[in-house]
Formats: sequence, C-alpha cells, structure tokens
Amino acid sequence: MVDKPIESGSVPFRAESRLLQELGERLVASSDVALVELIKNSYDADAIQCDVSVAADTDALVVSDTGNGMTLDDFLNRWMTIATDSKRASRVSPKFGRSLTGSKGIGRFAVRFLGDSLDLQTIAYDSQRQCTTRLHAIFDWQDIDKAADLSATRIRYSLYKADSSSSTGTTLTINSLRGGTSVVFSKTVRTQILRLISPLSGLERGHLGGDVSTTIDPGFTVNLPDRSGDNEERTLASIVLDQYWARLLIKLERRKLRFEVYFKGDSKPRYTHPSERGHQPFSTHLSKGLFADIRFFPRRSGIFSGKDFDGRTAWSWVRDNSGVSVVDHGFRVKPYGFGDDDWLLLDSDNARNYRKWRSDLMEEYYSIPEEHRKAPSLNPMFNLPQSMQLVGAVSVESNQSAEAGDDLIPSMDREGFIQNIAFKEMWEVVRAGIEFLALADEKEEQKKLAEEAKQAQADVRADFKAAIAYIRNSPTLSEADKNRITAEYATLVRHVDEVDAYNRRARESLETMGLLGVIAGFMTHESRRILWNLEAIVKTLEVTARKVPEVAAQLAAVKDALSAFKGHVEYTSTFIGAVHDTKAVSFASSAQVRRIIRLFKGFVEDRGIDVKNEIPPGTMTPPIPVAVYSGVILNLYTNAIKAVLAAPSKHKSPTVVFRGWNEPNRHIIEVLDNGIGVPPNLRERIFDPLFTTTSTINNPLGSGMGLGLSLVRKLMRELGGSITLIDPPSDFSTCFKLELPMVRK
Amino acid sequence: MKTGSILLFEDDARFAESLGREIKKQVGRSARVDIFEPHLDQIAGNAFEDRLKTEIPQPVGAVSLWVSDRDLSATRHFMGFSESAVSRVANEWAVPVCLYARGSGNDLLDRQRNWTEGRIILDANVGKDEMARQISLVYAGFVQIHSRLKRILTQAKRLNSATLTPARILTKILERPGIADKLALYGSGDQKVLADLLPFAGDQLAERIPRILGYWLWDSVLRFPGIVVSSIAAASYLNISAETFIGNPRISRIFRKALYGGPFADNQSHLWWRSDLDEILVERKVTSGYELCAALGIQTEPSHCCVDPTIPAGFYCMIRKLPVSRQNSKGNISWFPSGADLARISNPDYEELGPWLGLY
Repeated sequence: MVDKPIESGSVPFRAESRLLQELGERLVASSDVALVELIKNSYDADAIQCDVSVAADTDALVVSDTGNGMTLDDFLNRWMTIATDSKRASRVSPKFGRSLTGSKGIGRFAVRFLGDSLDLQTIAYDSQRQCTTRLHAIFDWQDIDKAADLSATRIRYSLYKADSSSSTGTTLTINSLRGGTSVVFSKTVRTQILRLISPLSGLERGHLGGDVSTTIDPGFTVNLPDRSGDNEERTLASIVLDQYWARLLIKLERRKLRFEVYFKGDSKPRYTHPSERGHQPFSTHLSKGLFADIRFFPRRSGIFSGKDFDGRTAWSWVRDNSGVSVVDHGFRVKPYGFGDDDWLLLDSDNARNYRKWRSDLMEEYYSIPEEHRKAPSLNPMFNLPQSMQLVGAVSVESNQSAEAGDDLIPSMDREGFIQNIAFKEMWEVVRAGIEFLALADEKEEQKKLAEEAKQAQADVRADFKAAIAYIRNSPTLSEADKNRITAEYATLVRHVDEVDAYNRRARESLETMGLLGVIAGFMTHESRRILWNLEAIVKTLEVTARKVPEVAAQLAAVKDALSAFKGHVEYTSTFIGAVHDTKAVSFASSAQVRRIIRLFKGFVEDRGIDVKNEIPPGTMTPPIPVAVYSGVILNLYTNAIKAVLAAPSKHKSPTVVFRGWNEPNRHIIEVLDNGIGVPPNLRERIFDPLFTTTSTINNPLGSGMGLGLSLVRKLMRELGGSITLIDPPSDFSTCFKLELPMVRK
Repeated sequence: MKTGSILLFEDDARFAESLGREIKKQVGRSARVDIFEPHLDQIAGNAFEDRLKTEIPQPVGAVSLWVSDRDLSATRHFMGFSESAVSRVANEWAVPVCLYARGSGNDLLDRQRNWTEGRIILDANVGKDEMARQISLVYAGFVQIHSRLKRILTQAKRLNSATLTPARILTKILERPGIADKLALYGSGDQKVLADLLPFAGDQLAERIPRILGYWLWDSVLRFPGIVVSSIAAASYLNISAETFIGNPRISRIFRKALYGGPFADNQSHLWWRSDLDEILVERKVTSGYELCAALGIQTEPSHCCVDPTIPAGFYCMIRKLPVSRQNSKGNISWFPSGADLARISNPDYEELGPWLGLY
C-alpha cells in the first residue's frame, strides 16, 4: 500500500529578527574588535583614509572612509543579505588589489554590536546607471529586534543622484552606543585599537609586507580622536627597536625556512639555521608562509646607556609593547602578544624552569644532552626569553575562503586562529625560532664570560706589573714611595677581601634561609595532614553537635581556630612556593599589607589590637620579588604585635599602623606601634643576628630566633634599600621605616 | 559487567583500604578497583618508573584510571616514591590520572604552577565518601569519552573524512555540532593539548585522545565558565540570585533543558550550556533571569557583584567562586583559556594574589 500525503508543499526557513542581535553578540567579542572590523571594511573598500570620530552634538560614533562606497545593487544584494560573503569571490580589492582582510560579513554585525541604530550614507559610482549615486539608509535595531519575522522587517532607504565630482566613500553613524562614548573611546579600547591597526612600524614584515615600489596603493591611514602623541610614540618605537640586544628573523616562504639572529651592531647575521647559506626545506600548510621580526631586550646593562634618550622611558616602552604579536593582512590579531597572553609558552616555561626544547625542529638539530639540562650555564633553555623581553611581530596571511581547509583560518569572533594544522605549524616555527635565539644568546654569553675572565686576569696582572715596574724603575726608594706601593697593594687586597666577604655573607644568608625553608616546608606538609584529619573529626562532631548543644558551642570555636590555622598554612605554602620565584614585579603595596593583616585578623581582634592600613590603594612598589616584600612586612608586623602585647600599660589601646607613600625615587613604608618601644642604647643592636628583646615574654607569637630584623636588613640592603628605626610621632613608641629605590642601581 | 579498572596509589594503607572500598561501592560492577601494593624490594639504581612498569601490567584496550595521592613518600618498598613517577608512566601509557592531596587547600596556586601539565586534581577536603563519588564520576566520564570516540573514529574511517582536530572530536563527543570554533579557543594558550598529540600518529594517536580530551574537558572547558557554566556562574550570567536559580523549583524546571549532560556531568553540582540558557530566555521573550522571575511573579534579587553589591555581576570570579562585575574584576588572565570569557579575578584578589601567581 502506498502512503498518500494529506498535504504537501515546500517551506522556507523563517528567522526571527532577534537573530541579528544574536549574531552581533556572538561574532564580535568586544568593542575594540568591533571597531577594528569596521576599519578593516574601509581598508577592503580601497579607502586611503578612515576617520573615526564622535559627533559632538549627538554623541554618535562616526566611521567615515574614502573608499569605493556602495551602489544600490551592492546595498541590496550584499549588505542586506545576511551571511553573504561578497569578499569570497575575489580575494583582492578592485582598485588597489589589496589582499582582503575581512570575511563572512562580520562588519555588519559589528555595527549591531556597537550601538542601537545606524545611519548609513554611501557615495559610489554606479556603472549600470552611469552616474555617481548617494544612498541613505537608517537601521533602528531595537525596532528590528521587535519584529517576529526578519524577512518582514523593512529598512527605509533613499537613492539620490550625486554630483559627479563627489568623492566616493561610506559614512556609518552609530547612535546610542553600547555603554556610551566613554566605553568606545576609553583609554583601553583606544590602546587596543591602535595596537590592532598599527603593528609596530619599526618591524619588518618581509615578503608579507607588500612592496611599495611596485604597487599603486597609496597606503591607508586611520585617524582616531586625540592622536596627538602618536608621532612621538612612533619615533620612540623606531629608536628603541633599533637598540635591541639581539634580533631574530624567521623567513618561511615557498616551503623554505631560515632563522637569522643578529646582535646589536651586526650588519650580517651572527647565527643562522641552517648554518650554511640557503634554507631548510619545511613542508607547511601555511600557503603564504610567514615572516617574523622579533627583537630581544633582556634587562642587561648597557642596552640603552650612552644614548640621547632616557633609558627608563625606553624600558617602559618595551614593557608596554612587549610580546610576540601576530599580524594578519597588516592587522594585529588578538590575543597573541596582548596583555598577559603567553601563546608561545615562554613565560610558563620560564616560571617552571622547563629545561627541554619544545619545538621538534630544535630537538632534532640542537638536542640538549641530558647532562647539560640541569646546568644553567650549559642549557640554552635557561636563556629562553620571556614575553616581557621580546617585541616582535609574526606576519601571516590567513585564508578566509571557504576552501581554506588546513590553511591558517581566523576564528569566527576574530580573536585568535582555529587551532588546526597550519596554526600548529606557525606555533612550531615561531617557537623554534625563539629557542634558536635562546641558543644564540647562550653562546654569546659563554663567549662574553670567557672574555671577562680573560680581562679580569689581565687586569690583576696589569696591577701587579705596574707595581713591580714602579719598584724596578726606582733605584732609590724613598719612604713615601714605599708607602704608596704598600697602599696600592693594600687596596688590591681589600678589594679581594671585600669580594670574598660578600660571597661568604651571601652564602651564609642563603644557608640560613635554606635551613628555615626546609623546616617551613616540612611543617606545612605535616600541618596539612593534621588539618585533613581535624576536618574529618569536625565533620563527625557536626553530627554529634546536632544532639548535644554544649558540643555545638565548642565546635564553633574549634572551627574558627581551624579556619585561621588553614589561612596560616596556606600563606606559608604560598610563601614557600614563591620564594623560588625571584621575578621582580611592581604591585600595589596596600593589597599585600591587607593580605598580611587578614592573616592575623582573628588573633589581633581577640586581643583588642587596633590595626590600620593607611597606605593609599594606588601606591605601587618598585619591582621586587613579592615573597621578599611580603616577608619583610610580615616580620615587622609580628614584631609590632609582640611589642604591643608586651606593653604593660593599660591606659592606651594597643595600635599598629602601616603608612606608605612614593617619592620620586623612593618607595617608603612605615610600621608604627605603641608597644614597649626600643631603648635608645639598643637601637642598633636590634639588627644583630640572634638579638631579641622579647625572649622572656610569653606570647603566642613566640620570641622567634632573633633573626627577623637581621634578615630584613640584609634583604633590604641587597635590594639597594634600607631599614631604620626612626623617632616615632607622638602616640607611638616605635617606628620602623623601610626605603626602597624605585629603580635598582 | 566490568569495562575497565581503577588503580589507587596511596601510601597510607588504612586510608587506601577505606577509600578503595568506597570507590568500589560507587562504581559497582563497572570497574575493578585495585590498590597499588609493591612487592619488589628496592633495587639500587633503578628509576621508580622502571620499577613501576615491572609491578603493573600495561593496561590495553579497556578504560583505565589511576588515582594517586600527591605524597607517596611512605610507600612500602618504594621509599621516596612520588606522584610524578606515577604521572610519567601514566603519560607513557596514555592512562588518565587524577590526583588529590589530603589537607591541600590552595588548588588555585597549585593549578597555576602546573598549568601545562594537564591533570585532574580532586579536592580531598570533601571527605572520603565524596572523594570516592568524584573518582567514580571521573571514571564514568572517561568510559563515556572512550565509547563515543570509538564510534566517531569508526564513522570517520568509513566516511574517509579529513583529519579531525581535537576540538572537532570533542564537539562530536559532546554532541554539540557548531561549537568547534568556540571550543578551539579553549585550546589557545594551552598548547600542551597539541604538544601531547604531536609526536603520535595513527592508532597510537587514537589511544592517547581520550586522556587528552578528558583532561581538556575536565580541566579547561568545564572548569572555566564560557561555553559551559556552573550554577553560580549561570546565575550571575542570567542576572538572578544564585539562591533563586539553584533553590527555586519553578526556575530549575524552566532551565532544566540547558543542563550539561556530557562526560563528567555531576547531578550534585550542575553545569549548564550557556547557549541553551540564552535560548530559553529568548523563548520566554525576556533578556535576563531577573526579568523572567518578575514575569513569573517570583520574588528575587538580581545577581550582585561580590566586590560591590550595589551593581549587577554578570561574570564569575575564579578565586572567590562568586559572581563578579566586569568593572570590579580582571579578565584576559594568561592561564585562563581564551574561550572562557566569563572567567575573571576580582580586583582585590588580583591585587593581592596577582604578584604571587605571576600575573604581574
């Protein structure tokens, strides 16, 4: 039996108008990316200039370009048809033959993302009508969203004949901006846009940079509001970029790969891979290959010295522009090289002291022998640059056509690439290049060390020779001459002694710290086991407490104490973990003091101690390892608590106060308390090792070993700073003052 | 029927015994549960890895999960033994490992330090029974990945289809076509996923995929709110108080179809597909959970930012595990996956912990 349908026909899909909003939200991730998509559209439309501004009267965002504009036909069949990608057919722009940057019609959704309504004005030469036309259309997205059926919505437009001398181009006026103009033109968004549209001009883009001499393209300028500082920025960029310590060029073109490393002053590469002239064959899915120009700025002396610009400005420029970015068709791609991004795993490997090559290429050609892995002087991975030390750009040309397959493909929301085989290859090549740079740097360092050792020997010998020659050339030595010779020798001996003494001191303090570290580490480990068991007991007691009220009251106290104890164990554990991290960073002092105060919150509250953190929130420390800073503050804080607890007087409430501020060259912290104070005759002695004033006082913080202040002073000195006991202001009995230089000498 | 095995490494014999018993209760007959008990006396000069390989037969074919305490230093005959030796052998044999540390509280810091190592770390402070339940969840997750992957690879072979990327395979395992791009973003920054796959090909590659995808899913996609969100992150995203979202049965019923049900889904700690939550709002013609509650006549508060309760949240602080607003938090954290666009760290925590976590 054959089934007969009751009814048949064919139906189209229906789309709700809200689809546009959904697409806008999903395809565009942030305001800066949205705005850059519009700028890319201008570029693709052969514009020479794109102006981004805010209309003063209406607070609307205006994006205006000098491109080809849209004819009515373009408007109806391209702009108004969702999911067409008009750019697929031809991958170059009609007038200047620019390689197209946008795809999938994302610009339209970017408009939707940025604001609630759009006024579109576009002037184009219409070859069918044989005249220049001006098209005007208005989109009210909120009205559109309300409509149930997208195909039923109507966009009003008007087409006018324009004067033939009118310049072509498109102006988008976006009203009711999401978050207001302050969001679109916030400093962050502006900085992000500038970074996306102007990849560092001083870096080469190799075969992907476009050859200006053979093209008719006059270039593309983007004007953002308030770009007054940009020229200055560009000049600084080109000056700083030329002062690199080392420079890496990676060239991958037509399946041929080559690394070149230059050191400052080199006109030819000092190290290359392959070492001979020529290239290594490298099979790749990156159809256009890649070119990378990466500059290495390790914090080594002499990089910016002797130049007619401020080294600190240069370093701060490096810090702000550091990272290895990826430039696709001339535009930077997020997230690579932005903010804390670590796409090449440089920072995580450095943080973990990862000791093997990650790239197959380096493993194959420059494998690190097992016995060299642990030796910093022999393992080039110890020279692996951190993102903060690199300023570089990897130029690529992604493939945005539907047939891209395994080629480099941008992800839909324009942030990052799809992690396909081409991406893996890009990662492998760039990572291998940077590892090759680390290898070259390690070789140079070895050379330098050898030269320095040679020079030091030569210097010592020269001193002796000079002295001996002097004696030999003086047939009759007077008493004064003898004194002079003796003095020269004495100076020499003193220098040697000083170096020896310094080494011994450093070794001793490390040993002390090492001993304490072992104990602290062991105790943390054991405490955790105890904590785990205690928590299990508390869980059992909770059941009992439901039946026995007396247990409930005691249980609450146990839980409080347990929670405080957990805080201490956690802090100690963090501290031990971070002690190995000697990275010097700048951070908000107040937040670290707040953390330490919280650690003892229960303890000080139970004893009625008033603790005040008066350090303003924005007070930043100089670059310093956080464990050192925190350790110093913790030490002074516990000393202050001990002092106020030991004070016999009952007439004043025990108080500890932290104060802090920055002066042009110094960071200052004061720790004040109204405790027992330090007698004048002991003021200097308190910094002696094993000296303690609280050994006879019975308090829960214990007396310590008397190493605290001695260690604090050592640490402060090593950091170029100081700790002093100064006269306290009235109402206080003790004031410790810490001073740290903002820049280490 | 037993489809695989769970092997437990724990140097406290009594605890091992009771945890093992509890796991057995949870997994029932679906897996064999063994406790690692070395028999060999110490052989000088032999690495722990080599000795481990002589003690344990290499699991082939069936799903296997190793569970290890991080401190194994008191293991009999294996003095000085550690979890890293277990992890290295597991890595070589492509066996998934999940770790726990009794008394360890600061998972975040630990996680940061071990970012690229790809592991599953369980919270041991929840008690033995809960730990056993979580272990059984992890095991069930891997069984699910294993069986779905088998089907996917067979289909791919039959269709002679082009190379499947990890993201595409995961999309198929999750049965969510169309999220491959978003999922791929969870891989950017975590190149370990790629690095782990690079040296292998063919069948060897297929053997390694479940472990890698499992780690990726557990530790990245499900942990950081973006594609999938926890109940608190969902409440924040929907702008509705977590109490209402979790506790009001009418609301729970409405959003039930957005529940995540893929590998590692936990019926005691729900996860939600963010796109499905959106869809439900659209269906109900509202733009937020708060509006939805108002429409249903349910009294609720909007989701307040944990730093400044006077403003709405919208995002999720990975440290406080609470709703947070964009302006009071930092995103783009290097060790968060790029796709996890709702994951943030509140400003006070960022200021306090940032220097310790290497974020500055």
